Amino acid sequence: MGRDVSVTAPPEATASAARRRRAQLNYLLTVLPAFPLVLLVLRLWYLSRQDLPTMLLLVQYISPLGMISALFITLIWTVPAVILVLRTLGGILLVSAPTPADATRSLLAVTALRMPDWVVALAAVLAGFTWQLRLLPALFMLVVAIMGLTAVQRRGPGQRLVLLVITLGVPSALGLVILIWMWPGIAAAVSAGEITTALLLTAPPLLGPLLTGPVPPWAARFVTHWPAVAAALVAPFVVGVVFLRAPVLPDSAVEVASGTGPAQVVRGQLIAVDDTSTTVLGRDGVVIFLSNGDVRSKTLCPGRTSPPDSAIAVRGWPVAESALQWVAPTRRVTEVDPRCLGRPN
Amino acid sequence: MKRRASMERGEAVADVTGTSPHDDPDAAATAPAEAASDEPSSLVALAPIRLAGLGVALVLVIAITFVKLFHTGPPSIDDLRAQAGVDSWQELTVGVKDDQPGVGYYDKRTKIWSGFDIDVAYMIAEDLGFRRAEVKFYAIESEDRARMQATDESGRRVPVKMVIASYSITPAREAMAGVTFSAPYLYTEQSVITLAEHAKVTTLQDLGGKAVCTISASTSRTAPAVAGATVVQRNRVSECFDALRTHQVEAVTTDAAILAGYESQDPKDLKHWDLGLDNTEAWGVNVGENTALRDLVNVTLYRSLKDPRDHRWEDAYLRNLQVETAASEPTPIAVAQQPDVPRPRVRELPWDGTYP
Repeated sequence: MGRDVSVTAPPEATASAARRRRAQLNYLLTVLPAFPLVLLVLRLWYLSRQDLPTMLLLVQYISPLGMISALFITLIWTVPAVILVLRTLGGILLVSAPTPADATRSLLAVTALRMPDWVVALAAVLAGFTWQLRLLPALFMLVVAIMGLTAVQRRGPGQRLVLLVITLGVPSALGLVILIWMWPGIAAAVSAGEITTALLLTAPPLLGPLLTGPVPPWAARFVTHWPAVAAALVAPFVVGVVFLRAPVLPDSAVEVASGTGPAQVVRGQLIAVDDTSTTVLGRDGVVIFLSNGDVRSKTLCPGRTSPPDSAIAVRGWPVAESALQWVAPTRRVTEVDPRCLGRPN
Repeated sequence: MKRRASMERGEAVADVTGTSPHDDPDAAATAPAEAASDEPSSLVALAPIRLAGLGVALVLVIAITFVKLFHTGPPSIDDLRAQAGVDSWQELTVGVKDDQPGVGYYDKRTKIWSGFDIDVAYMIAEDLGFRRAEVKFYAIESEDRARMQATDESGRRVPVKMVIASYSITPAREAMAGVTFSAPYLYTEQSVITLAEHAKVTTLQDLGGKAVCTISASTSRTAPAVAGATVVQRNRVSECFDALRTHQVEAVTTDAAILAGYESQDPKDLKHWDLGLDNTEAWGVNVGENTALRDLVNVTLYRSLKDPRDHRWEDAYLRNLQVETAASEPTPIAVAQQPDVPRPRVRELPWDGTYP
C-alpha cells in the first residue's frame, strides 16, 4: 500500500501513518455493530414520545425479535445500495487516480479493491429483489458501471475491443433496452407530473455508459472519495428517518364498553394483553390500560404509515413496489373496518 | 505541475518495483498509469464526459434524496383524514335545508330527510367512512350557513362539520371568515314562481314595482332589486311561499332547483317561470376552515365525476331533480350533468388506475 511512498517519505513515518489508519479502521468496525442497536432504542424513544416510563414499559413488552424483523424488512434494501455504490465509486477512483498510492490513500478505493466479486454479485441479486421498480434502472447502471470498471482495472494487453464492448457497447445496449421497456412508465410519470419518478426511470440508462471508465485524474478524488465520505456521514440520518417511520407495533382498534354503557373505540398500537388488562399505546403517546372484562372486540387496522408515494405502473408493475412485493401474495384492503375509523361496530 | 510530478512518480514506482498488475491485486491499480500508452482512445477521450456524467448522477442522487426525505409531495388520503380530524368524529354533522322539497327536506311525520343535498351528503359521508346512521342532519338558516350553526328539533344551536344547503359559491362568500367551498356539485340558475293565474313572466322587469319574496342572505336578492321590484326578504323559502299564497307578495324568486320542488308538489296552483338570466348558481359544500375536509369532499366529487361505475351523483339527480322537470317545463331547473371538478392534490386516489 505504501510502497511508492518510500520514494518520497522516510519508512518510519509511513509505518506510523499506516498504523494510525488501521487503528481508526478497527475502531470503526467496533462501533459499526452498535448502530442497529442505537436505531432500535431510538425507535422506542420516538414511539414513547420521549417519555421514559412509557419507553421502559415498551422495552418490557416489545420483543427484540419483532423490532429486528421490522428493522430488517425496512432496511434490507440499504445493504446492496451501500455495497454497490462503494464498489462503483471506489472503482472509478482506482482506474482514474494518477498513481496507485493516490488511489489507495482512500479507504473507499481499498474497500473496492478488496471486495470479492461474489459479494457484488450477491448484492446485485438482493437489490434486484428488494429495490422498488423505479430504482432498478439505477441498479442496472451500477452493475454495468462495476462491470466496465472491473474490466478496465484488470485489463490485459491487446484487449482493446473487449474493453470497448464492455465499457461502451454493453451499457449503451442495456440502457436502450431499459429505456424501451420503461417507456410507458416514463410517459405516464411525465403526464402525471411525477418528475422524480420520471428522472429515476430515465437518467440511469443514459448515465450508465458514462460511469464505466476513468474520469480526469485531477477530479477523481473529488468526485468519488468526498461524495462517499459525505454519504457515510448522511446515511445514518437517512436510515434513521426511514426506520423511525416504520411501524414496530400492530396498529389496532379496541372496542370497549363498561357495563351496559355505550361502546367506544380506542385506537392505537397494541402493546400487550395479560390476564387482567389490554395495554394500548394511544395515538397521542399515552398508554391506556383497558380492563379485559370491558373489551368487546379487537381488530387490526391497515397500516397508515406507508402509502405508496407514486401511482405510476410500468406494464402492470407499480413503480413503488419491489419484485419481491410484486410477486409475493398481498392482501388488498378494500373496506376499512368502522372500528379503525374510531366508531363502534 | 503537481499533477505531472505525481504522474512521473507513479511511473517511476512502476519501473522500480517492476511488478505486473496481474501479479498482485493491490498493484492492479497501477494499470491506468502504467498502461497510459496502451489506453484505448475511448477511455481517455471520454474522461471529461464521464466526469460530467458522474457529476450529474451525484447531483440527481442528492436532489432526489432531498425531495423524498423533506418534500413528500401531495398528502395521501390518510394524511388528509388525520389533518381533517375525521377519524376522531363519532358522527358526521351536516347542516342542510329542511323546507326545500327535492333539495333538502325534513318530513316531520315520517322523520325522513330527503333531497339532492341529502344524497350528496350521504355520498360524501360514505367516502369518509360514515354509515348512514352516523350522519346527523340539522336544519340550517340561510344566514347561518357561513357560521355553520344549525338548530336541532328542540331549537338548540348545533355546530356542524359541513354545510350542504343550496349554498351558491360566490367570491364575496369565499372571502368571508370561516367559509371554504368545495368544488361545485350542482349548476342551477335563478328563476321565479308565481300563482298559476298570474300573467306570463319572462324577465324580472315584468315584476317591476311589485313585491317579490326571496330568502335573506341569498344571491337572489340583487336581480329583482335591479329590475325595480320590491324585494321582500324571509329567512326561509317556505315563509315566502306562505306569503305568496296569502297574496302578500306577487312572486317568489330564488334558485330554480329549489322552486322546482314546490312547483312539482303543487303544479295546479303555482307556475314556474324562466327569467333568462345568464348567471349560473354553482352550489358548493362549505366546510368552514377545514381545508383538509374540503380536499376529501373534492376527492368524492371527483370520483363521482370521473369513475364511470360511480353513479351516485347521477342517481341523486334522477331521484330528486329529474322527476321535477316535467312540472316546471319549459323552465330549466338545473344542469343535468355534474359540474367539472379539478383533480384534487392527493398522492394517490383510492381507485387509481381504473380510469384516467
